[in-house]
Amino acid sequence: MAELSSALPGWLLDFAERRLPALTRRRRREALPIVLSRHRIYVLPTGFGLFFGGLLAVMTVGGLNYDNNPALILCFLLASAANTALLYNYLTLRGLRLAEVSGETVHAGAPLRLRLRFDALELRRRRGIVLRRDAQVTAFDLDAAGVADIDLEVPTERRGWLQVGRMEVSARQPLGMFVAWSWMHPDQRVLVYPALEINPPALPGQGSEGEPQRMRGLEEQVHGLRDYRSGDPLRIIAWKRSAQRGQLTVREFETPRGHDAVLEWHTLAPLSPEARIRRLARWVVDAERAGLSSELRLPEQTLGPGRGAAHVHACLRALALLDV
Amino acid sequence: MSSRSATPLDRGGFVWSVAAGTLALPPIAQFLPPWLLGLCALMISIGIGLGLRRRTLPRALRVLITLAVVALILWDYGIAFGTRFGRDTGAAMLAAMLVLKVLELRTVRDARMLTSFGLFALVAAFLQDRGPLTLTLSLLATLVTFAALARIAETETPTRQLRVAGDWRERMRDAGRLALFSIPVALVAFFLFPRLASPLWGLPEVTREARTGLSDSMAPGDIAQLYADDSPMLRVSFDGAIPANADLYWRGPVLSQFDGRSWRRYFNAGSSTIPAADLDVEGPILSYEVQQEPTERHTVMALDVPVTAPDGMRLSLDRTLTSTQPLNEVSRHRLRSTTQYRFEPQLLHTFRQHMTALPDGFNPRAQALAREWRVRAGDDDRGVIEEALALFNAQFNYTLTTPLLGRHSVDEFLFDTRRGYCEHFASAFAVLMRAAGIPTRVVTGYQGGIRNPIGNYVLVRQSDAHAWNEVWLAGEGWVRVDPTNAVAPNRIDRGIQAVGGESKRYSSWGQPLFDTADWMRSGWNQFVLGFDAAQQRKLLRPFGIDDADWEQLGVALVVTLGIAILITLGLLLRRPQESSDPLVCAWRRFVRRMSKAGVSHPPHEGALDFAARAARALPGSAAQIDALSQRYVLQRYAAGVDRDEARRLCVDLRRFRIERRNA
Repeated sequence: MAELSSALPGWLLDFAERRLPALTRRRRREALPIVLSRHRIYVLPTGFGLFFGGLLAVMTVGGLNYDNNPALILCFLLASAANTALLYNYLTLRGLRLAEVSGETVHAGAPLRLRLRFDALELRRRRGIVLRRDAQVTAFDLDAAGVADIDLEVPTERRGWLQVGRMEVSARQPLGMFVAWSWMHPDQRVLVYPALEINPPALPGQGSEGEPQRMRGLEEQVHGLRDYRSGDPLRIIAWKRSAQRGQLTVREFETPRGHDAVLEWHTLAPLSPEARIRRLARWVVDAERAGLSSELRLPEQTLGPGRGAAHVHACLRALALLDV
Repeated sequence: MSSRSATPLDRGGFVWSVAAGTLALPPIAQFLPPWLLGLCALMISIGIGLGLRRRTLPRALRVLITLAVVALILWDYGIAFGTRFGRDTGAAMLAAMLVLKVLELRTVRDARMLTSFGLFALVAAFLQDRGPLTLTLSLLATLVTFAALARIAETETPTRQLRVAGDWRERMRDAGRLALFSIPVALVAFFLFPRLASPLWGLPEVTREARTGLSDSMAPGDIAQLYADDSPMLRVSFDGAIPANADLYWRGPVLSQFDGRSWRRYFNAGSSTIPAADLDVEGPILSYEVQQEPTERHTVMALDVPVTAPDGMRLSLDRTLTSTQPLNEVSRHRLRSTTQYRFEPQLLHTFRQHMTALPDGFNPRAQALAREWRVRAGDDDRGVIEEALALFNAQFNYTLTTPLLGRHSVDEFLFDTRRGYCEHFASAFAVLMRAAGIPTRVVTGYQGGIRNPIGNYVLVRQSDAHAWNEVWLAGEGWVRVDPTNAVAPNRIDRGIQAVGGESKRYSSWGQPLFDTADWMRSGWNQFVLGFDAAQQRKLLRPFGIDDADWEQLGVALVVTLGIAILITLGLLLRRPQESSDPLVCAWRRFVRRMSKAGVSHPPHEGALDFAARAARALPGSAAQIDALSQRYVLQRYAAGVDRDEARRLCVDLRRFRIERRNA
């Protein structure tokens, strides 16, 4: 299909996109929200549906031959019910909307929980919608409230961007005679951090003295609370805590004074690039845990020195996206 | 897909499938021998027991059981009526297969096989019986099958966070809704799907017991069998008034050949080369419609003497109506008859001979008696008839319990037992008349009937079966003489019940009930069973098409089918009723009214916040919106419910209209 899309002239592609989106969108990514319209929903009988159709044909011909009206009533009711089930299958998907996709970033190797928010343009009871992404399958209902948050656990293997990828939504209930399905291929990606090395060597740059010292400052991170002493500026008073304790309390700040852990790409030269990334990632995390500030020196960029979640994220992100 | 179908069935799915399969049995059960029914019940119980414990019988044992059951059925039915594989055998096999399937119900695929098989059994049941009861049972089984299929589809759906609970009532409601939404398309298909004017293959053979009814011969005891049978035979609605009971003689096979024991039809009577005998109509012609239950024979019952034969029927020499097709279904005929006539004023010599023939060596005493009468009466045929009727009237009893008669059956009846019913009287009378040289024949058919005031028709039942005579008199033609009338006039005036027939008399409240039930059954016959290819062609009459052909029907089918599907789609698209609380509904309506005016209500917003916003946006109704929303919140969230206030609030909410303040 990709070859087809590239081989077609633009206007034809546009036309196809409009009239037969299912054909072209199978492989194309779309921006959210993705709404299933009638142009892109397929319905086919299942194996059981075909079997039932055959049986129904035999019964109907028998009924017609013997001019047996009660038998014909039953046969036509069954055929009509199959038709209703088909419409029901189709309507289960029509108007279904994938509104949001989000995912908590994890380290490669750990399962990533993709959270998909489905809602619907038309409020209607929708039952047994099956969502399939590669080997991951889950099913959900969309009831009158019309919103469903679906978690899909996706295995991660590599660091970097994980494309949400093409997902199949399908519906077989209520009779299981037909399957209606469509594709959703959201243009969304989730970052996967590099895997962390197991049992890494100790953090580099630990030799130098590194006890963090407490120091009063105003712009630094909150370290703790202490009683108010006359002369403290008003703005460091923790009003809420003061109210709770019944005694004025002020925030105390600290600026870490330890030596930075300098995490150097180049010093790990003997390792393979991926191994280096894993070790660096591990160190970034370890340094944060130890309360040290770290500095990550990569071939093209240097991050830090710094501390805190934002810094860790920046480092891990840089490592995840490092092109080697 | 195959891996999915092999999904093991969970407990709920198992129970539902067994329920659907079991409910498919009652419609065919009426035609199964008791031993097979018992076997079915036993096997279903074993199947349920095993299935709930998730155990299976070994494969070899299952095969053995299957073979044994098949062999049993073939043996039973084979002994019963030859080695033919008939409808009954098929039904028995189907029932057996259905219950055997319960024994190996393990996967989703098994469950679907079982339920589909059940549906097949339902359709097969209609080959045996087309009554409304069978259809009702079948529809019930179909509903359960829908619910079972839905349950199976849920089993098949991956991951089990799905609604697996849900009590059975809700499932049945869903199934009912599915069926209800399917009615429009089913109706269109029923009426417009092209019907076959003639069958593609042969009609199914006769069942184990041929239907009762009058045949083309009458041996002693034949008609007595029918007296016990209260099932309906004819339903007749007259265009005008219903004639008196004494005039309601429904003509069936006319028998003119006597072999000393039984009466048969004249071998040539049914021949198509012999035209019907002349008939001079001397009174009004009665038009009526007859609905005749299936007899699997050709004779069409008609009042007294039919004047003409409609399409597809023939009037034979003796003016018996015969249909060209055997009457295997409930059939409806429009007929015309007369009760005042001169029937065959000129009797051909050969026929005259035939109608006076008696076998040699039978009933000598009766013949002697008749000759004696002839001498006494001279040329006066009427005189001979009077003698006979007077004899019957004076010395004979009408009874349904009669002793067996020997070789000279008429002699023994006339001189020894002197007890009998219509058959004996008609037979004896014919023998006497023939011996006296008067052309006479036996007419079998039905006499009388019950008026059904609800449907304004006459119901004639099998127990109304009767036999009487026709004698040919010079200048008058064939004249009906009913010797039974001479013995038991009540039989003719008031019907078979009057003379102790076995049919039930209904009490004062039972009779209307019976009438209503029979009237409904009559409607069923007329509108459900009566619809066929011919009726279908007349369907397009309102559109100016008298006799629709295949293509016109096709167009009509496609168009109406499209409309029906749209109706179904519309029903499916209805918004779900989110709440059954009238107050909530009224509030939603109130909210919708304001959304239309441009103040939308996002789901997260509270009622009061929304009302405040709406009041600002619609200053014309601000006070009203405030008051109503305050009341709503109080009513809905405050403790204690004031029902009157709730009702008033509902009304007020519904009555609310936005007032636009136009400059």
